[in-house]
Amino acid sequence: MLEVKDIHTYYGLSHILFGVTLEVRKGEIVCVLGRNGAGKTTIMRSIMSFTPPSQGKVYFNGKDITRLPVFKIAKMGLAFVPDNRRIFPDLTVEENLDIAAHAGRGRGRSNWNKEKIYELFPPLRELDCRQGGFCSGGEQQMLAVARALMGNPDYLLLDEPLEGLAPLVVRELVVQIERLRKEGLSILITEQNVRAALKLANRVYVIDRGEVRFQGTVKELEENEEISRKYLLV
Amino acid sequence: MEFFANLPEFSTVISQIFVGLSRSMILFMVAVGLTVSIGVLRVINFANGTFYMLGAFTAWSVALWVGGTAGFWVALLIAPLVVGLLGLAVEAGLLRRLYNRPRLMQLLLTYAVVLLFNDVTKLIWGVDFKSMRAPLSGYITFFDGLLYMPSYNMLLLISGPLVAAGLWYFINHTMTGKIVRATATDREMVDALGLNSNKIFAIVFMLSCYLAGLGGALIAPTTNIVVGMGMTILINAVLVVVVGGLGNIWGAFLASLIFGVGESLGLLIAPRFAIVFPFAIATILLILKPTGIMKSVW
Repeated sequence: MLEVKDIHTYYGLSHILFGVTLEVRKGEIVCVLGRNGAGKTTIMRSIMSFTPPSQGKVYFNGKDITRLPVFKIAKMGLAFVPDNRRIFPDLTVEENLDIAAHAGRGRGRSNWNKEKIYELFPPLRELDCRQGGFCSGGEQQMLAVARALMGNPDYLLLDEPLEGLAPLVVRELVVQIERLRKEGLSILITEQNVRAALKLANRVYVIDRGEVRFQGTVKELEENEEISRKYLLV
Repeated sequence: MEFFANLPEFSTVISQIFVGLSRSMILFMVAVGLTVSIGVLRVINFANGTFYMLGAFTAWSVALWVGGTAGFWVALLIAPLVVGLLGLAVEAGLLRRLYNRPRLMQLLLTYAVVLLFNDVTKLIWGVDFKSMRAPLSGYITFFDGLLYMPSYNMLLLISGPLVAAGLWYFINHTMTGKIVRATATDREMVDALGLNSNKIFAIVFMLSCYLAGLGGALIAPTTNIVVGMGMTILINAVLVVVVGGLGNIWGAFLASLIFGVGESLGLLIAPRFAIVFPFAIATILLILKPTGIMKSVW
């Protein structure tokens, strides 16, 4: 279980998160919804300790991981897919996967390898010699998720995975993320694309200006028109 | 006024080119360390020339200690390792604390290391010139005397391409090399995969110091070993790195060749102005291609 307890996070002097609390239980897909600038990415960065919270705690499977070095958190089985993908542009698709696999040696219960990845994301098989920097947006998104999986994580943090992708690609990716849950992964997604995200989620948090404004099931959110209107622009 | 020497013979030109090539190889070893630390760590390591100097002094001491012809070969093995480890200590103890600071701070730190190590060198080895004997003495001739050069230069000529090929293999075909390339473009993401990028930085810095030390050990038998030698080569190495394209290993190799050969040919054509040639070449190349002759990583 991943628990975020009452965290306050700053970028320099600007206060971004104001006491955010959320949790992702095993086998769940949890979605954090909110507008641009609401603090979604900062939640991810706080969990991974790129920007550690100055107040509050993050627990992973009961262990306090607040302010641990990033690579140690990753080694425990948390994988992060950033919103701008951040594929290593000078490495080929295959090399991107290779170093992730090397990093994740002997970790976790799931057992991802290139064959299994290519089965999940068939287009990547054709690309394996291409440099990451020359892949299209959709291809890079697949590669970013694939790279994260190669480390055999138990939990996946997907920061706006559907952002900027063509509708057809979005539909494909939603199916693939759904399949990852069946493989036993627990997933935290942040999204602005409310409709697609709600198809996936077990539970939803709505955040605005660095605070949680709503939490509940998808059904509860759909029934609460006020929240949707106020914070989600639907 | 006659600053052009008499037109040299063809065989002299050929020999001089090879002298230039062997100098290029030494220059390359210092420049490549500099370029790799710029490319991966984003640190301009002023101390790289100092590590080169320490390589030469350490080689001198080891050779003296072991004695005989074997002395040089043992020194060639040990001196770069000693320098590499010293580099590791500098990285882990000092430089690591400054990666997130402005670049000027890093530059000042590496300059402080230059001053520090120069004085320590004076304390240990004194201020007098040191010199050591080359393990391969005599001259060799090729092509009916067309090419005539010291046998020792053969060793230099072979070592440069060997180092370049070794580095190329390391960077492109080993797992650590792949991680090094990834770290060069996105350190944070490397950490996010569960790899300790601190370790990668340390390895790269140590490697660059090792290469500088190797250059120093190789040049030791052909020159006066003296405290100022580090700064002299550093200035040329910085030019090589800038002209070659920041962070580009092949760029450094190519630019080293251009510089070394350019300088030694300049020595033939206009000896009094020989020192100007590398800078003139650099100026021309930078006007033609301001980002360097090969792709820069910055």
